Amino acid sequence: MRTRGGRRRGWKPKSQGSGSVNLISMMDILTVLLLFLLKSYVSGEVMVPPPGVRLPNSTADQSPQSSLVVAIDDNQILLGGDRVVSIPEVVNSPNMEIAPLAAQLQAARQQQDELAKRRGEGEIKTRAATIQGDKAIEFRVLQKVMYTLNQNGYESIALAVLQKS
Amino acid sequence: MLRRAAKRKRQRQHVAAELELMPMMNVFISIIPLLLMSAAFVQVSVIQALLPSGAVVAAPATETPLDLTIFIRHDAYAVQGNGIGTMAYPRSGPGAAEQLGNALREIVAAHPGTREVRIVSEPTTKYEEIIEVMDISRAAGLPEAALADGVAEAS
Repeated sequence: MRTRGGRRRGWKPKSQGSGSVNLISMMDILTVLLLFLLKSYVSGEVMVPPPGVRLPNSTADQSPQSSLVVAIDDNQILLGGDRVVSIPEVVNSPNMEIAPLAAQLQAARQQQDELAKRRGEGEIKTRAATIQGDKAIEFRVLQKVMYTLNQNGYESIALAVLQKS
Repeated sequence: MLRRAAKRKRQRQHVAAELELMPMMNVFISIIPLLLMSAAFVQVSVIQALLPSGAVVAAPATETPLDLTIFIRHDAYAVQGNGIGTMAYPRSGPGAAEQLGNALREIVAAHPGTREVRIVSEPTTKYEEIIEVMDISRAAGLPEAALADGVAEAS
């Protein structure tokens, strides 16, 4: 409603007092995010398979421990993220032991020993390794990897799988 | 007078109470990166595997007198053991996994104390199939699975 003078009757300047941001909506988002993250929180080792490795699904619920990780995808074998040998080489080799992997395992073993010595820990009794195998790999490849791990002192071998929900 | 008092009361009720949310925001903002680092969106678990028979040189393949073995052939699952003979379950049918599970449960019920099973695969058997059989045997009460090769034994 306008008066004769052309001025609004109840008009007041808008920005008066202290301007406060409405944080309620942001709090809602953060609360939902917090709940979601709490649900997916893992207390133990967080294991992420390398790209290209599709782990098989399983009902197993044992949580992974910190250990040496050997990943096997369609084309190659990786040790701690580094390429070691290709799958055709492994398949075509008549030997059960994979020589390039064995050499890398020996180096990793020496490194572990050195670390244990520096920390003042005793000799490592059981060495653990985890195999992150693609679900399509053949048993002959898996068997050779397991054999090589065992021959190089890694006696406790775990197979990584995706937990079925 | 009374009217004025009521008006004053009404005005007092209209005062907006504003919560101090900044400390809570600070806590949330500190917790969220911490949780993001330790969150696993894809849950990975592990299965402890015993070694293939080729790797076990000195130790016997299995210590149980039953010597329970599951053969994963391309066409069928076969269960073999001392005193139980060999039972085959064709994989072409839809209920092969259930049949294998039921058979293993019956064997475990008949031989209490049996915990170990040997899973024998063909060289070209897929890793996924081996994990599936390990799941079936674990569900049937055989948590210790040893992997081995040599399907020729079953035929």
